[in-house]
Amino acid sequence: MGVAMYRVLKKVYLFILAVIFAISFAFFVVWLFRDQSFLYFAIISGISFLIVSYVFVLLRRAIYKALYKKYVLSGFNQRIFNFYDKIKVSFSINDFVNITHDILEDEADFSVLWLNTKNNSSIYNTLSSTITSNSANIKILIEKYTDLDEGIYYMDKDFVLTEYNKNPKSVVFSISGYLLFIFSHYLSVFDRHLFKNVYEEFHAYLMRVDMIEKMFSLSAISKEWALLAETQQSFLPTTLPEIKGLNAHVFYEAFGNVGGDFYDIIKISENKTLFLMGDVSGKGLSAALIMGVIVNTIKIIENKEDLLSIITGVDSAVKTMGFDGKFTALFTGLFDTQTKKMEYINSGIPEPWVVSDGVFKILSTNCPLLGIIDLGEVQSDTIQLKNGDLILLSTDGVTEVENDQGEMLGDSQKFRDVVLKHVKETPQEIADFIIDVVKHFNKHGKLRDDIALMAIKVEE
Amino acid sequence: MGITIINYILGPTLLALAIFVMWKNRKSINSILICTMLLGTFFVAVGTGLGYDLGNKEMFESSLWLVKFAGIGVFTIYFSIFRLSLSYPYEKSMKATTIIMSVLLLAIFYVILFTPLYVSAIELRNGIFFRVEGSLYKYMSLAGMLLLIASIVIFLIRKSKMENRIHKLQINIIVIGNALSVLVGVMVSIVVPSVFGIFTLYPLGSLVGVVMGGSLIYAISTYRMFDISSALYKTLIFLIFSSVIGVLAGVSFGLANKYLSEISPYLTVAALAILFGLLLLLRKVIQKNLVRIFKRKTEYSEDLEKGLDSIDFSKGKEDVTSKLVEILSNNVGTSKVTILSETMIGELTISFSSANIEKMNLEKNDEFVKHLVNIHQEVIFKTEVYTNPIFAKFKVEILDLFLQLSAEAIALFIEGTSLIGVIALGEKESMEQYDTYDFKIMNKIMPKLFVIMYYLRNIERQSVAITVDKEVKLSEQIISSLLENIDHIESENVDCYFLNKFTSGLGGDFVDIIKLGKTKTMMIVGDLAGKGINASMSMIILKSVIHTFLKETSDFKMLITKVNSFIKANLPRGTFLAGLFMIYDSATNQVFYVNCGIPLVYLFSNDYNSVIEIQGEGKILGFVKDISKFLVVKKVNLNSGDILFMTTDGIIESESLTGEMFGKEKVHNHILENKDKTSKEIVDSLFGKFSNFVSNAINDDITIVSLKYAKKPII
Repeated sequence: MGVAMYRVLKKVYLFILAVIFAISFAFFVVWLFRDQSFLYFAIISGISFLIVSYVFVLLRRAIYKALYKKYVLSGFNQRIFNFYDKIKVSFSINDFVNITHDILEDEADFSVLWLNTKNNSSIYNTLSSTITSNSANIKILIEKYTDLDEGIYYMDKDFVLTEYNKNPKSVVFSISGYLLFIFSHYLSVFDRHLFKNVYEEFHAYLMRVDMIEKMFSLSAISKEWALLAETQQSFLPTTLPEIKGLNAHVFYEAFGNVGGDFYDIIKISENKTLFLMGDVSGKGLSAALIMGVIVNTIKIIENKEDLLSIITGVDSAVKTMGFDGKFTALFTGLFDTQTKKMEYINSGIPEPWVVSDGVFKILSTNCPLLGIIDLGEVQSDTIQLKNGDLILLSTDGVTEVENDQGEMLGDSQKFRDVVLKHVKETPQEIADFIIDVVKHFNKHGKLRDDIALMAIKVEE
Repeated sequence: MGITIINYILGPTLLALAIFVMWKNRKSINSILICTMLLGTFFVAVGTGLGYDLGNKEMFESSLWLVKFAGIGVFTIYFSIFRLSLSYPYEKSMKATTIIMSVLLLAIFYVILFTPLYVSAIELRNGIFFRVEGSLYKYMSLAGMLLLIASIVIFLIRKSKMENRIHKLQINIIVIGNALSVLVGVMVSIVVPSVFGIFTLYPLGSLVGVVMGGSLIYAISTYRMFDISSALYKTLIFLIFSSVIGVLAGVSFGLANKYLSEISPYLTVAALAILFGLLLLLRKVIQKNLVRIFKRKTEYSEDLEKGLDSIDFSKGKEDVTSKLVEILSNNVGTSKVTILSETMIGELTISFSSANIEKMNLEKNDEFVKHLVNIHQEVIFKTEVYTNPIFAKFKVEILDLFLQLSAEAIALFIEGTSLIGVIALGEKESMEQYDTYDFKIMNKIMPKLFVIMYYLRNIERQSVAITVDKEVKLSEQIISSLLENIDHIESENVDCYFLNKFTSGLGGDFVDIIKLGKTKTMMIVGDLAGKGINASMSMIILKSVIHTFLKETSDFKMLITKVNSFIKANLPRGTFLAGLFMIYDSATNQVFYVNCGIPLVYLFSNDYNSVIEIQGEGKILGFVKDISKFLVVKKVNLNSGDILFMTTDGIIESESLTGEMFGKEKVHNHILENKDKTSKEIVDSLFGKFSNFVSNAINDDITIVSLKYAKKPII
């Protein structure tokens, strides 16, 4: 009964102190100054009263503080004090639950129920108590107090709100959608001021944890996102193979963190090299996920000399997975360095060019887009190339860049001029010039799509 | 004794204060001067008090010496104040002046102590202490008074030329203190004796020095501006309060004494004691009501806090920044706010400035920045940098920082030992200085500002998160169509149900059912290491690849070997698959399976009414190059009522808030308790139990599969 004792003692001590001060003040004043004139006596006693009463107030405060420490911050109350003291150093839900368990349940014999009214769930409840472990009670409390204004409330045994001095059985803290119920048969022995402190600390704790969690997940997500880009990069070749009779260079840039364009140059045998250039519909993560499937499907196709099996393999992989409305454009070219012939199937890659003797030839589409419709009968085409010919494979991020007049790069004379001007240079230089044109074709200089460009030169 | 008790209390107090001032700032010339002044006051207090008492006891010789010492004290006060007025607040030694003044003071000491020119004798006149003044007394006192007034004038002139507002404030305090002390002096030594005819207040003359000393100490310990008008207002309230109580007390005590003392002194004591009690009560009542008046009109604390609370973080960096700036501007009253925040690469750069500061880099490794971090004072006012000794070491650098930020006040945000942000506030539009009230409020709101600053620092990550969120939402449809796009076990005797839950929208767990033939169906329960987007990318690839492999091979072991090699060769390092591959043959009711690391496979046998673990030991895929030698195909015959039940590690390894693991036993008991229910009921109710157990959002992907064989009776 610390608090009651505290209240009684406060009054007793106040009385004793006042009596001692009053009598000694009166005694000294009378003893020292009683023969003085009225005015002198009034001045001296008035000033003395001001000083003495100030000392009295200080002393009273000190005594109250000592009594509070002795009677309120001891016994039962000490536990509540410990509790909110520990909330200050709680930084996670687990921290909070641990101190609830150690102090409120084990030491103070409270049962605790912590509800989240935003999703009507119980975050924590004392299992050893019949009140808080009963799911029906939890349901009742959620229904009843979901819209409780923020603050401290007291509740009787029938879960009805009541006053602190009417022997409540539970104290309720309502803060930003959370309800914390602390049940005890002896709730009234605890000082209500301490509950106020608990409330304030709980509030600060919720704010803190909320922010910490948000920050934590932010950093986790940004790490995960960066990792995904790494994963996607790992599906693309880091270096291109050295192939006699061919000189190739690839430029690749995803519009966002990840993209749906892909490419590869695979040396299949001494004379045969496979070129791949693909573009999954859409952008970003969804395109990247499908790109991952396609690239890996191609990797496990055993006979890569059979262009048709690659095309059907990819087509079937996309279709089997049932990606809704997703498809891919894919150019597959099998180049024979000995005969300089290239067999190719173009499923919707726009305008793969062969520049030969200053003339642009387009390797037109000979197969539908993959993964969306029935392929029907597909047959590859073959083109005879010669030394010095340039093959340019790119996705629509290059050819379909529009200038301010709505003209597409692939159709523009400017593009052809640039290519023809630099056709004698290395594939890397040619690619660099083209990319420069792409990036400056519209005045905003902004990319709207992934860019992949492969420049291959037939050499001796 | 009597009135002199005040002197005896003041004496030791003044001595202690003098020592304290000296100790606090040993090398400061100003401290030496203030200390000297306090010592002078000590002499006055003790000299007049003791001198008065001894004089009244007719010990005139000793009394005279004490009164002379008090005189020394008085001139010490005058001289030290004058000397202080010449240089304060700066630390100037002014050797020549100081020596001349010291010599002059010593001469005065000589005159006071060893000649009768100042005070010639102490005697009792009409039974009252009387000090016989020497022939020079009046002139010396007048000169002293003039010196004090001169000091005030010098202070005021110097003040008018000062730039620094905190110094101006300090001088204001000193001037007010000195003026007040002159007033007290005039009251005690001229007004009260001549108007009221009371000559016994002589010892209270020391109050002059006390008021002066108090104002000096207050001035030098004023590091931050405070609104002097509101301080005066408060003082006035306090004085009125004290006067009302004091006058009431004096009058009532006086009257009681006047009318009762003749009857009996005991009665007087009793009456006074009762009056004392009543006055205490009255004092309390008046004070309670005065607290309301004490509140300042310009208090903005509440609005500021409410404003900060209302900031909506979901609205993005610019909105949060502009709201923060708006709230600070409106409440604190400044249009210049600059925010420095730590970038992703750890530099402190301007993230916002309404003071037109475009470029500014604060080097975290600069000594003065480290110092600022170490002293752990989060709110610093420019005025304080001039005066507070803790900034003395890097005063120039810190002031330069204020200049660069055109700031009058800065708030530092420190996480651990690292400075993550700075908010700089420019001068107020009212041209008022930042004062103690601002200081108190800013400190109070620091935790709230910290949260905002923390947000601003992480804003770039936030924008990544928003992108990811958007991307994941767009891709969820792909993932879910992928997860749902599976075959079914076409047998009316089999009741198969599974549940997939991801921590975020995407995850690495999957269940796939692929029809292999008329009676054979393959089921794969997979759990890729990790969670989130990366795991789900690998999951999608694997699922697709398995389908492709199945077109080439129907061999069970070969398939797993290929999947293993594929993971090892093509997926990013660190990708592993825990999976259970099984084939159910509806013709024979047999299940063939290979377990590659699924931690829990239970078989409930209806015949034995028991649940047994059959997961065996299997290697996770993606570790070793060739897995074929580790693969063991097992077989189970299903009888009517049997249940094949499996979960990934997400369920059994998750912990409750108290750190308890969910474990296998709960699953075991759950199957036994619910063996007669449908697969869906068993799985859903287990997940319900699990959700209750962890209370929290799940933190690993979860998959639960139940395959119940119940032979339909032939009708």
